[in-house]
Amino acid sequence: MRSEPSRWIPALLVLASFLAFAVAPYAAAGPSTQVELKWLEWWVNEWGPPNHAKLIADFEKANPSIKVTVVDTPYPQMAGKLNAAAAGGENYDVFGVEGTWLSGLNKLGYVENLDPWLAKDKAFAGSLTGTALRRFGGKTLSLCLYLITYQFAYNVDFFSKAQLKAPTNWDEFVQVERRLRDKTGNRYGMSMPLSDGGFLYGRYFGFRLAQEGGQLIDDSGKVAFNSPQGVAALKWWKDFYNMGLVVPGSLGEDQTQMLEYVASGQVPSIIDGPFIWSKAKQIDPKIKLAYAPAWRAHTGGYFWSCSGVGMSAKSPNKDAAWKFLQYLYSRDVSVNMTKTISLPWATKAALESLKSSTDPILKNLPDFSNQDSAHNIVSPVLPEAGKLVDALKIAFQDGVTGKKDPKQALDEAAAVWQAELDKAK
Amino acid sequence: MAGFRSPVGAIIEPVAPSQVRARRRLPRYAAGYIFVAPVILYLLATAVYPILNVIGMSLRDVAAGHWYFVGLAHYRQVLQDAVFWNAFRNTTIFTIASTIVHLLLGMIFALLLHEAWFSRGLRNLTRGALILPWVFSTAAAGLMWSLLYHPFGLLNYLAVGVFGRAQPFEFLGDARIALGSVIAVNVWKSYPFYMVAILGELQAIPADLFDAAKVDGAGGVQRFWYVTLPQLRGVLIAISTLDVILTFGHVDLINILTRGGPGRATETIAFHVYRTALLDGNLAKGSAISTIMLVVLTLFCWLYLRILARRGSESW
Repeated sequence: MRSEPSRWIPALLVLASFLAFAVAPYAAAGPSTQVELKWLEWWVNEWGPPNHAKLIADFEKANPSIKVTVVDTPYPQMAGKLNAAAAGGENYDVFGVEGTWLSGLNKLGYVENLDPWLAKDKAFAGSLTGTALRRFGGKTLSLCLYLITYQFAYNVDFFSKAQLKAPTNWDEFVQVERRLRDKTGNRYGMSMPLSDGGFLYGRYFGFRLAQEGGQLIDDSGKVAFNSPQGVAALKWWKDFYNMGLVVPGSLGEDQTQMLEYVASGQVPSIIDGPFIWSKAKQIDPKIKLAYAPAWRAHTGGYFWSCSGVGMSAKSPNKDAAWKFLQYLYSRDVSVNMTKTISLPWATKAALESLKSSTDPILKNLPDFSNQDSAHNIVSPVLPEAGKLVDALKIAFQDGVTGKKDPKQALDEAAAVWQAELDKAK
Repeated sequence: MAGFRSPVGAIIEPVAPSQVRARRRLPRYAAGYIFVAPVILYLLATAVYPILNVIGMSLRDVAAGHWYFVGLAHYRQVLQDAVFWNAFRNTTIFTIASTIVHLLLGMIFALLLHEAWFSRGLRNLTRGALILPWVFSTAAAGLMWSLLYHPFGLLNYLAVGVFGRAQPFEFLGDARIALGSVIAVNVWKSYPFYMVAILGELQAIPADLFDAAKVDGAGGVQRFWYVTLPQLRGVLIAISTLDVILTFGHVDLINILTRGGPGRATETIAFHVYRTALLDGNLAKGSAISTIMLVVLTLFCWLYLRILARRGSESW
């Protein structure tokens, strides 16, 4: 006779599965006092995986109660991932953030106001550079991790073979580009990617605007880039673009293509941030890039922006997150990372260390920063930043291609900016 | 308990009362509902809930993490926005052009492959080669074409190096041709879908229909128009509707090739939603644009199917 299967067996199986699921996360977590800090960012490859791993390992060694879980995300997906996390309630205790993303994240209530934390730790606040705090709506929403300005960078070996010297001003820059253009060999001296608003905003328009003595937004909060200085900046780039010295297809070209041109030696010069060398070295470890010395047009100002870090307002581990930020900006880490990965950390100690630097990119940064600091432009945190940067991109594209008169193009973009700034007030 | 004999002679055993109770617990139709319940639950969770959520979000706004009701404000804002209408225009051109060319190419290749070739092996090889674009992921196809369109790429090498053009074409950088260049990639990527579907349907058409048409004196064009095309009607409606829906919502190809540029020459509604909601973090406005997109697409498909159904009843 066949025996009836016992009802207890499935019941026991269900109970065992339930217990296994319920207990597993706690069993895997190890000591119950350890805090897991989730860090969403895009820097693992940019800094080099071994450097990045060491940074985390050193922190965890010094703080055994905190485990840092890095969520490395390709840069193009970062904004989307952060906004989705903010809307969906997903927590990242610390996250990498650009100034252009902050207003949207702030609207969603995702960004911690860092002012109270900075007020509690005056020594830490005092160790940061003046441009490190990214403020919006009367609050500090993030800290610049490293400072970025844009300058003419060139392939040292190529220039040496071609017996060319790095240009020391804008006129020499044009002359060098003319010499680099070889019509018979279809060779261009420079590529100028104009498909990305964030890219052209600082590198081309912002740089020349600072050197013309203009501002994006004046002290009264009024949009000022459509001033005579702004129009002159756009006209300068229009004239340059129409000389036919840059790789064709600028309006469809992005950063990836530009990096390939530079790293493969197809174009020997570029206007970009200090990270360009470390990025190019990942493609060709032997490539050597250097910055031209500081330039001066009507002023010696430079355009400054930064990639930064913020803390989640919804983090259950804010103390641990703050401790991690203190570590990232500590003297040892900032000086060491500046030296190792050639990116100027936004601390006074790191900037001080550049004075004795022999790095062909970094050694010039103090000059860019100090030669005419009154005319430096610091990229502001903007409301509806994506829309505003996009409006400026269209104005720049329309201006350089002659689709619109530079003044008209900038006035239209300025109207979009002013409307959003007024709304934010 | 004794049984009784049925009209056809079989002995039917009476059912025990306990079994009757068990069977009567659920009405007969309930079994159907139970079988489809997992699918309905899945659809509720993955389609209905997100759609309702998006519609709800489009009627609200957020400040400092607190959502509040704003009614139709986002819709008014979107419908007055020239950027939205530009994206709408681009989407319409992109969708209609892609679908028509997909259909034409798919049909031509399917008809060619359906014919008897002098070499069966060569026909199979060609069929495999023609299906190849469909195998590529969109990212791979986008990357490959961005290299082909490159100022130093193969197409420009031919244009400048072989045909002596002074300047390379700016396929993705010239606002006049950028949308056309993106449409070309989309056509290349997706025509095999039509080709395979039409070829499958062609092979299922009974040969005697063509024989009868021949006997009646119909030529090649007439056979195609009066026999082939009506037989393909069902599959053409299905795949073109699906294609319209998929093409209308394209983000990845645009993102890889042009990011909506130059200017806004290739910005489609789906990319506009992506930019507004995910890149700019304006989820409420992005939801309003998504909802408009949903309504437009639903209306279009309804109208399209209705017209085709009416034409179908009248014959082609």
